[in-house]
Amino acid sequence: MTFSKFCRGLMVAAFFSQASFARITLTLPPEKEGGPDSQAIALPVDTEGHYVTVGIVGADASKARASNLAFSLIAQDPQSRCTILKGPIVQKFPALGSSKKLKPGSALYWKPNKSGAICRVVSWETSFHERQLPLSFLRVHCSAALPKPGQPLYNEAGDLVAIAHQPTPDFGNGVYALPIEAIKRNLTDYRTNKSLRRCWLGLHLDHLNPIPAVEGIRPESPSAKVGLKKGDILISLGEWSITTYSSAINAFYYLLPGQETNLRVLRGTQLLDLKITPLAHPGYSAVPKTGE
Amino acid sequence: MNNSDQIQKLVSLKRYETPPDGYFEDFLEEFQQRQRQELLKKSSLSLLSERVGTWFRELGSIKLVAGAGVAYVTLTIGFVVYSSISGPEVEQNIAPASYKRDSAEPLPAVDFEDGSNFRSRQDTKREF
Amino acid sequence: MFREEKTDPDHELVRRAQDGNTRAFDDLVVKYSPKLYGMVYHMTANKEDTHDLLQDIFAKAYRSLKRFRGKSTFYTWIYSISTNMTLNFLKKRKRRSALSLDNVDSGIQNNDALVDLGHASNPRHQSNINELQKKLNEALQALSEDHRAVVTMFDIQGVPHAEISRILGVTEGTVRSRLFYAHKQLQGHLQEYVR
Repeated sequence: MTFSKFCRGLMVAAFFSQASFARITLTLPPEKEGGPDSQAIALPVDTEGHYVTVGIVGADASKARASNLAFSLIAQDPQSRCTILKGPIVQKFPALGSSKKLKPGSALYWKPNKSGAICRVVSWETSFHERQLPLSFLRVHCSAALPKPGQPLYNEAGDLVAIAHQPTPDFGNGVYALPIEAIKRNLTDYRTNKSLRRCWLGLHLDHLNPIPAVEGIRPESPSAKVGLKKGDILISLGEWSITTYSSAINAFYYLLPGQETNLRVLRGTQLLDLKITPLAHPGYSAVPKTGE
Repeated sequence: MNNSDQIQKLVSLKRYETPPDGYFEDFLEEFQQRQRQELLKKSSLSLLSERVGTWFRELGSIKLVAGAGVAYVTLTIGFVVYSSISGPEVEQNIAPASYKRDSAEPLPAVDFEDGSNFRSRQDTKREF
Repeated sequence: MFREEKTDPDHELVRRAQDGNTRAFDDLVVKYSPKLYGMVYHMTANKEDTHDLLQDIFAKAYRSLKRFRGKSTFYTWIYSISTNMTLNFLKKRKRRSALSLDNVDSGIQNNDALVDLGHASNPRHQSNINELQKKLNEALQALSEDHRAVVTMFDIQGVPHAEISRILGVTEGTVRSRLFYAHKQLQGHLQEYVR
């Protein structure tokens, strides 16, 4: 081992020695020259040097760094801005919990031991400026300073349930937060397929219809193969309950290409349980040139 | 007059931005030409013969040959379905790939004909 | 929601066009292409794109004509098609033009209609028509597509609020608030012209 590598190892060890879980503040240069740097938090998610953060509009995630430590951009999901990076290997990382039980008023903390700043869940959001969001986000109010994008948020039990996204622009001192299930989904997709891909079912919904009823089926699609029919009402998909158009969009986000998923529908008065396997949507993949 | 009214007045000046004389006559001609070309590509032979009949009646001297073979309907968004095992060729690019038209294998058309849901509109449906 | 009983001035033309009379559809093209041209051009600010898009709009309208049930007037129906196709086109145009993370569809984005009110305004107070036209176009293009759409429809084309709300599928309140916000944005860009 060379002397410089030894020093670097010492630096990394010193860097990570303080926190129980490493939580690195990244500096991201702007995409366009002359703009300000941005900061985000990188959260380690395994012992292979993978980190997760949230991409920032106008910032170049491919040049993220923390002090003298360089990170490489591995994959980025443009819909959620969930960003996977490769960085120094650590031995400790937080277990990923579940956001399913979060509701308005639920407390969230910046640290698992409930110390530090407290935030409160305001709501689950499905639209932004009247535009449908590709998945449901949390709206969170914060007591003082806003958490940086990527900041992990823990529930009362100390489980990691969300990561901070971008500030809410309209009212209140708060941020949007990405539910931890979105991180899990993207990590699984990346680990399985070395890419982040959207899925295709071949069914049509009408956003003006408050009921999530199937309006059309593409022939020879996964929906056609399982016998889905026009008029079927979507009830649940995988672990996600579907009651509205927005909740259907949210459920679709969590599909993984090639992975069989339970789809429950209501046909007239009959409840049907179908096993549907979405295909990868070929118009959508996000893997950088310098992948692993 | 308050600022908002002034802004409205300024912006409404844009209605005087119009294309040159003769533009819309040429536009119609081009549209008619496109329609004739599209007819030749239509998927169903019966639709073709129905429309060809109309064209003969309407246009008289222009002869259209009843097409040979059946062509797939060109879709507004055409893309190939990849097998879930092999997966798509991933474009090594940080940006998400754009939807690409595929002229080789368009997807079959979706039949939306169904009068049962009067709330539904053709232009508000999305595919997932 | 119930069927609207509306007298459509184009009822007869539409009926004939639905029966396969292409001349009747041609008359509809002649009648509405100027209005739709205006709508698309003010949204895209590009003549070539406008021309191509307008051809596509009428082609789509022709293909979908049999499904038009007369729940609205033909004009509202084709105007709606035109708006949706233009908005979709603009979103795709944004996707193609940049590799940056924020140029994607259906994601949380910073509001791209934010106006830098500290922007140095033109020191010249005397401006000719070309300058004003350029400034107007820039100001409009700086708005988000949704805000640009309501300004185009209401301020430029004189479409009433109720009609805009039907075309865009939003409430009238939303239309009014978007207009209010858009006017505020435009004020920032057009300060020197507003006395």
